[in-house]
Amino acid sequence: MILLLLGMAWRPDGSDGLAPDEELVQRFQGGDRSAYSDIVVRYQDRVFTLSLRWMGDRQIAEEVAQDVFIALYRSLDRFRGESRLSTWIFRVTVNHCKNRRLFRRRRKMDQHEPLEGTRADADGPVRQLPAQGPGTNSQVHRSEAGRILQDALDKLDDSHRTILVLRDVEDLPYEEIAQILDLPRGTVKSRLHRARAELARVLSRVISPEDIFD
Amino acid sequence: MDTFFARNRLSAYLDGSLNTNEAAEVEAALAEDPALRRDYDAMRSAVEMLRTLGPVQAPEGFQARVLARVQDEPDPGVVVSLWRRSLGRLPVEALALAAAAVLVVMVIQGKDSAPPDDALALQRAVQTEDYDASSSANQDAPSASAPSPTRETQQGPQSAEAKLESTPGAGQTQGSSAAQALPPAADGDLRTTTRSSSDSSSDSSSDFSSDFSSDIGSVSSKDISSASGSTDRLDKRLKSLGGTPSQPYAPAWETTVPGASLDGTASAPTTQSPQDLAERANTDDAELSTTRGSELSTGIDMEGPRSYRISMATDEVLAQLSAVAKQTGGRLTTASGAPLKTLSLGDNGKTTWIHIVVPQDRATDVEGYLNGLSAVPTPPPTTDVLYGSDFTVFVIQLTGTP
Repeated sequence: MILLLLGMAWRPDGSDGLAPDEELVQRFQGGDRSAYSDIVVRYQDRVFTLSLRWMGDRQIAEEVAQDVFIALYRSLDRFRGESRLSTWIFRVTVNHCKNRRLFRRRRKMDQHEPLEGTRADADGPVRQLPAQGPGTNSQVHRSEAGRILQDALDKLDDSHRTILVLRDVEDLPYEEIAQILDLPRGTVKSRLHRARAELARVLSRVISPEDIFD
Repeated sequence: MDTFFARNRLSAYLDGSLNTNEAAEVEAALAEDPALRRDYDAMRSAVEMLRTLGPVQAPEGFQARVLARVQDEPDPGVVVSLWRRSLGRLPVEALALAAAAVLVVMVIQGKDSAPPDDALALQRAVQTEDYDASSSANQDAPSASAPSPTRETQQGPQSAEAKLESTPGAGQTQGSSAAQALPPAADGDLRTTTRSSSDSSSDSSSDFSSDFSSDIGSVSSKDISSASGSTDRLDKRLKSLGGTPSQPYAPAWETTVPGASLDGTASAPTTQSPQDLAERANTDDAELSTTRGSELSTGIDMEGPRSYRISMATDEVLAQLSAVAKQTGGRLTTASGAPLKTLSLGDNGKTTWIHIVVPQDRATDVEGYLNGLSAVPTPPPTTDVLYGSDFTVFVIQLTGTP
């Protein structure tokens, strides 16, 4: 209780200005539902990113991401803190993505739908056409590059895609990826190697990386 | 420079997770091999794309939509808090007393259900749920394709559960304290009937080897299970272990006449050495191909002997291992490959090594049975005895009970 009060009085400034995960969980389990809102703010981008890179469609990715947070809301009272909250959230997200993708495959709904506005800045125009000639807009390049990247990710098998996103997009350490996927650390490394090699091979058929980056 | 080594470490090199020596090796390989260099550059570019373009922001209003959905959810803390409030009214002492009472009840129930040590060991060896001494006299003597002597182990007082089935055939008399019992029913265990008779027929010696050959062909799961009146049960058990009811199995080493019928009417055994028999088993001829029994592949390759240790082993355990070997169409041998003649570990608690040699596709059954006996896997020893590539060898170290 004292620690909680101290925590409330003195809040360490993280990158998002919110309380640490442990404190947010404690507050939520103590009945403070506003802590849940903070958790959503902290993880919404990462959960949506993982969902989008998995599903390849923004609308479906948002549905999956919402489902993840609803599941989180229902289960957070029972979270015992044996793993990090982020590990738990990512694991739930991966499972939801797998289930959703499987569901769509079974219903033959998994047709490739072109992404719209897959850029770091989601407030930009929905679609952009690549400009011709010199002075190419880098934002256009990034939009097209993002589409190409997603197309390449869609061609990978689920296990490769998962580990690539967790490592190279979410920037998670090997140990946490091993916990999320319930794999030995060595398997994570070897699988990551194969996944990267496969992605490189797929991308090399489409573009030369020098054409993407300024 | 080992390009293969470097190629398999490109990803780790990219992450900087190699040690100094390994990183230096990879760098040297990259400098020397242009193709490797191209692959590394492609990988690095792909990873850079992911890191740069991969992260995205959640759509605008995402948080609000999530919180709106959450409004419709029941408060997950309500149920928990109700419980907490209810329990909170009770004094701590009452809770402690209740917990202690539950513990006492559990301990008492545990003691009542736990069998004595001797009985526990026996139960592990033989499942007695199908034992019915009173009905044993009414059991139909299963037909045998050929007259064969009854084989039993002499183990002192007739213990129905401990007797090993000899041959469910001629010579079996009624009126004795015949008993039928089945081996442990733990997962992976096999079942067979054991039957003993105080009025056994001519050959009541415990010479395993002399009886094995005549038994091996005539005993089938159907014979055994019909004796217990539970063909379906045995078949189900065998099937649950991933195998099929064994066909009458006549291993090549027991057949002397090329082209002889392999329907279970095995001829007299040869006296060839294990090495001779193994060589014969390895030859590729039509006769051998039909002795392989089921073609069901279990994915087990001949990978070398599998080794286990069974501590506190008893003669009953040895008898059961013999039954398992027979049931799976295999045999029990000494460590030198000679047929095991005596199913007794003696009284001084010494360590005994035996081999269980079974067809490859039945190895899983044996392994499951050994797990049921709490056999401990040990590093596989080297053995010079060869049994042929179609067979799996289990090297069993039995430590007797002093």
